[in-house]
Amino acid sequence: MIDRVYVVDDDDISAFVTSMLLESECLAREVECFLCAEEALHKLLHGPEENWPQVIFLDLNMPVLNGWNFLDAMTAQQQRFLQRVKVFILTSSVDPQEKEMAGQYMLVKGFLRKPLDEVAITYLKHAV
Amino acid sequence: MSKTFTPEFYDSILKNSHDKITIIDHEGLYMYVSDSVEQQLNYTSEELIGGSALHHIHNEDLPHVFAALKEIQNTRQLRVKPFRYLHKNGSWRWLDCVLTNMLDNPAVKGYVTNSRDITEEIESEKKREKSQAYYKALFINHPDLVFTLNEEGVIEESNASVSKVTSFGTEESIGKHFAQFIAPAYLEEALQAFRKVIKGGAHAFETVIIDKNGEKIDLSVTLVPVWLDNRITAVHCIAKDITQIKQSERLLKEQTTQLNNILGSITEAFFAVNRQWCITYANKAFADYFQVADHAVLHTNIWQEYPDLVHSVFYRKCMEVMATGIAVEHEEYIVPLQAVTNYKIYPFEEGIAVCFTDITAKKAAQEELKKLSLVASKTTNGVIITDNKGRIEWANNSFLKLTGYVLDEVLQQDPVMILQGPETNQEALQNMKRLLCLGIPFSEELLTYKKNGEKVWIASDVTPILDEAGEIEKYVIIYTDISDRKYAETKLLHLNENLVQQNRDLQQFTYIVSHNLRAPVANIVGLTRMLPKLQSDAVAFTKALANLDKSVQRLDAVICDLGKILAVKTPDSSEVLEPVDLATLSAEVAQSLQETTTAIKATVILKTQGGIVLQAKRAYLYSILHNLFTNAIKYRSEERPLQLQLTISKNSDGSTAIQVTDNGLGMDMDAIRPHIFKLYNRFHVHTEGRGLGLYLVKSQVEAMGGTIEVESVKGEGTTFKIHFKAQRND
Repeated sequence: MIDRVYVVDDDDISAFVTSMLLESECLAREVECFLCAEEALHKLLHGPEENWPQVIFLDLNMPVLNGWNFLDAMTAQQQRFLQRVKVFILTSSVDPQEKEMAGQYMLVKGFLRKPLDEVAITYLKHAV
Repeated sequence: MSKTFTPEFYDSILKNSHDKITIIDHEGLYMYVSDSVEQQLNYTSEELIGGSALHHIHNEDLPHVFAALKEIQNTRQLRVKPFRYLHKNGSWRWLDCVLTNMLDNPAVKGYVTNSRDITEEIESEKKREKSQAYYKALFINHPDLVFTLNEEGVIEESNASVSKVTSFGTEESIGKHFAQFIAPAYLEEALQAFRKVIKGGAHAFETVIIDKNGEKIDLSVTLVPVWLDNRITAVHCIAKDITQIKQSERLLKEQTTQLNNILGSITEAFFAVNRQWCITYANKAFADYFQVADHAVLHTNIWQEYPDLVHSVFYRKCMEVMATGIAVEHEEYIVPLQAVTNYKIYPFEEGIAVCFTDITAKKAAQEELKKLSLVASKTTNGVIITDNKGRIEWANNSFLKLTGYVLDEVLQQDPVMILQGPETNQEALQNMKRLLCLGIPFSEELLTYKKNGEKVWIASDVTPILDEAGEIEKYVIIYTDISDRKYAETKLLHLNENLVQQNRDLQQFTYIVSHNLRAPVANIVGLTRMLPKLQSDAVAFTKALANLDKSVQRLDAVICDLGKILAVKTPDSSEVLEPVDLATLSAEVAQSLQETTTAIKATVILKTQGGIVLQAKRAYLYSILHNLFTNAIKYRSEERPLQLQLTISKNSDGSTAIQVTDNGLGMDMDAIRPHIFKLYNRFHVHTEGRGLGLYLVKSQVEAMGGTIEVESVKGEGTTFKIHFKAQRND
């Protein structure tokens, strides 16, 4: 069981679905949803490390600060997050190019398609 | 037997004797005349007796007859030298007379004459002497070479001329066989002639002998057999020295041959006619031209042979030359020949000579050249001819027009050097230089520069002209102004780039749309999976259900967006442009949003002039303004009441400007400039909006041929500027 999970997604319904799933599957003890990526990033960079999530589900297509900007910002302080925060891309449509691009980030541990299903949940249970 | 004869006996003998016997006294008077005198000289003895014997003797012979009469007085007998005695018929007869002195014979007492008529002998002797003289004259003194061969061919006699001509002395030729003197080449012929003559026929032939000095001497020889006792005992030869004649003949022949060769070798057809218009000479070129044997035309009358010629100028000219003796030259299409000929007519002693050339081909070539040069000089293409070094020798007017130079400036210049400029493709120039050396035709397109610096795209077609040895002699270069085509090509290229861009946009659009379609679907899938696991009375269930509804609505919205976008992206041709009064339209849009603007206490200022009419799609214009107004309301600042201003103005160049300015949130232009008009891009959090509005605005503006720009300062406000170019009033 993961202590804390961030869901960073501007789509409120998607965030609702994801958090509900994580809870019902007992994957995460605490799910924090961010409709604004900037807020999540601010918390990560400036908040106390003990409040850090072990897993972040990150949407890519967001206004103002998109998933890539988010990843770039984290990567800038990558050493702090490696081993402690695992990022999973969670996007509605899987683009092979985006998938490959995501693979470039050491922080990204997986590329998942919305909505999370049983297979993905099982995988996540093993992966984290 | 001893017998005494009677006087009658003697008388009878005398009478019948052939000899004339007379007895004369010492004075020469006839004492007795035998009767045979009558038979001999037709006198009767009675007529003569008593007359003088000297009376009938020829005056020329009298002296020696007198002498004989004197001499006989002292001698017994003598023979008188023959003398002439007058016959009764008046002719002279030669008599041979023997005088016998018989004075002491008492029975006679006189001189007995015994005369015999020898006229025949004398005359025969005279004839013989004459013939001897003739022979001598013919043989010895003959100016030709005369000699006699025996039946074997050995020279028996030869005259002075033989020695004189051959330099061989008489003693050197006598006893030699004639064949020894014959030149080897003529030997067989000479022997043949000799054999023929020996068999009995006279023969004349020409031969050559070698004289003592080894020189050849031409002889014309006549051989005559000499008959004696019914057989040929010798051959008489008369030879004439014809060396000079032969040499002249040879010379003449040589000269004739040479002349024939010269005339024959003349490539122009040449013939001569005499004053009777008969062809007396025709050279090989003439025969070749008419395809006849050279001799076939000889002696034919030219006007009979070619009657149609009589109607030609040629006929008149021939007549003229024959009459005046002045040479002429003329050029004419000769109908029977079907050829244009150039002919020269020369008079000469026996007639006229004509020299003519078929210049049909030359004329045709000239005509061709004339036409070609007309084409080259009048064509709109630039044409130049250069030498083998590529220097201009000739340029037509079009070339000068194309390049802006005058002829003197380009002559002897390298066209590449004068036409190239900063943007000329150097690679193409190098390529051109390489191809020029190969001697093969090629084309190259180049950007060239006029004298005034104006750029001209030209296609140059280069054709090398080779000489007979295959060496490059000249180049013909044709320049075509292909600027229009090149610009069209550039335009096409630009168009193509646009197409590629649009295609890329379309791909992007497809991706974005699929992504945005997928997003609500993913939510629906997630929610529907979740719902069965939730208690229907749980808060989560209600919320999930509400989200499901919301997701379905979003899906619907996206599909609606798609419809809108596609409508703009694939304009319906039936949707024609209509005149739209912008002031009226602006008012309508403001009116439609009045409820909202009033609610948020916004100020809307419409700065429009009346009468600005735009040919446009009304629905698009409405949508554009509506979207921009809505955006301004949506992204207004919470810190101040919204001020929205719409300015519509017509510029002096006829273009129309629409400007929408607000004092809202504003955007960080540096960050968002590349994305602002993109589909489903949003720049504000916590606000409604799917990122479709500006994408639609831009699409609609562009669909009507306008442009849109945006200026914005974060926290201050945003200005959208739409620009429509001046429209033609049609």
